[in-house]
Amino acid sequence: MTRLPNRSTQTLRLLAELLGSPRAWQHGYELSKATGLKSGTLYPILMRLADQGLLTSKWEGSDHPGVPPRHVYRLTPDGLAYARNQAESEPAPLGARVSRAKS
Amino acid sequence: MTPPLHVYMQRLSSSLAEHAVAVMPAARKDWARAMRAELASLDEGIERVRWSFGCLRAAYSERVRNFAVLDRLAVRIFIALLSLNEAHGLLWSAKLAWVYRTNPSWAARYLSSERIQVFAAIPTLLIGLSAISAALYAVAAAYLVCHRRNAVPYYAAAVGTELVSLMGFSWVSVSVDSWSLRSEASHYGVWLGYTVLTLMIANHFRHREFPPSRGPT
Repeated sequence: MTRLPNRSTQTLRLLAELLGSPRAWQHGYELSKATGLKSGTLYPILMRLADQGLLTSKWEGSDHPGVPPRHVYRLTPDGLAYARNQAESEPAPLGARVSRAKS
Repeated sequence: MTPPLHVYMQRLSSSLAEHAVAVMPAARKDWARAMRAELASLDEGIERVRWSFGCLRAAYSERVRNFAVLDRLAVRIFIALLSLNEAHGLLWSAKLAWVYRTNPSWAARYLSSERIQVFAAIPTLLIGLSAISAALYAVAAAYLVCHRRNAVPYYAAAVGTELVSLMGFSWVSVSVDSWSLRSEASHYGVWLGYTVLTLMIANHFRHREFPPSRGPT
């Protein structure tokens, strides 16, 4: 009954989104909007990926006064390799991202 | 002058996000702060509330993951058995209340005359709620044994449904002035179950921590 790690639809959707812009730092809310994942689903996945060394994060200050710093995320080199590997075995949606990134 | 609705929503979402930060295990606090920080970028209104409820869910999920006692299969099986006992009790009550309508003499074999009056007054909605709660307990028990984190929403739904149905039953029993829920107090499974839940909650506040996380940096 044990599920394979990082093979849930939600995780694959998130990996696909991160793989779509591999160098860009993305905010949690942006990722939530792009993937359709609610915060209660998104953050546990982000935490797990970070624990596995597939995701890196940092605090990014705002130019606007009174707006608190936000957390931003992107895949580590290991994470990119992992996501690409997953994309090859999972035709969609990760596969679509990889082919778009290559073109 | 009454503040507009969005002010209440803003306060609610801020309070929920603060609570999520408080609940999150110490090694994960920064993640909760990250979720809370996103609130400033969200539009006012229901979206903020939804987001903060998600924060709360994530924080409690992390807390539950931290119940080391639940790593033991024997403990999970024990709690699952208690849950099934609870489900059985709820189903039995629902069955008695339902059968009473069609076959009062059959139900009379199991109930005193006072309790029959109560069962006669129980609305169909409460019978349905009891049955739903029983089903949720059964599903939660199955998830607990197989994959404990997924059991949490089912337990929450089961307990919530049961509480609503118990309140309904209580109201009915008071309204017919003949029977009290105290008669159910001897239902050992219920009390054993709640004792285990209390122990779990006590364990929850021991604040055991995760191994150091690599993120956030």
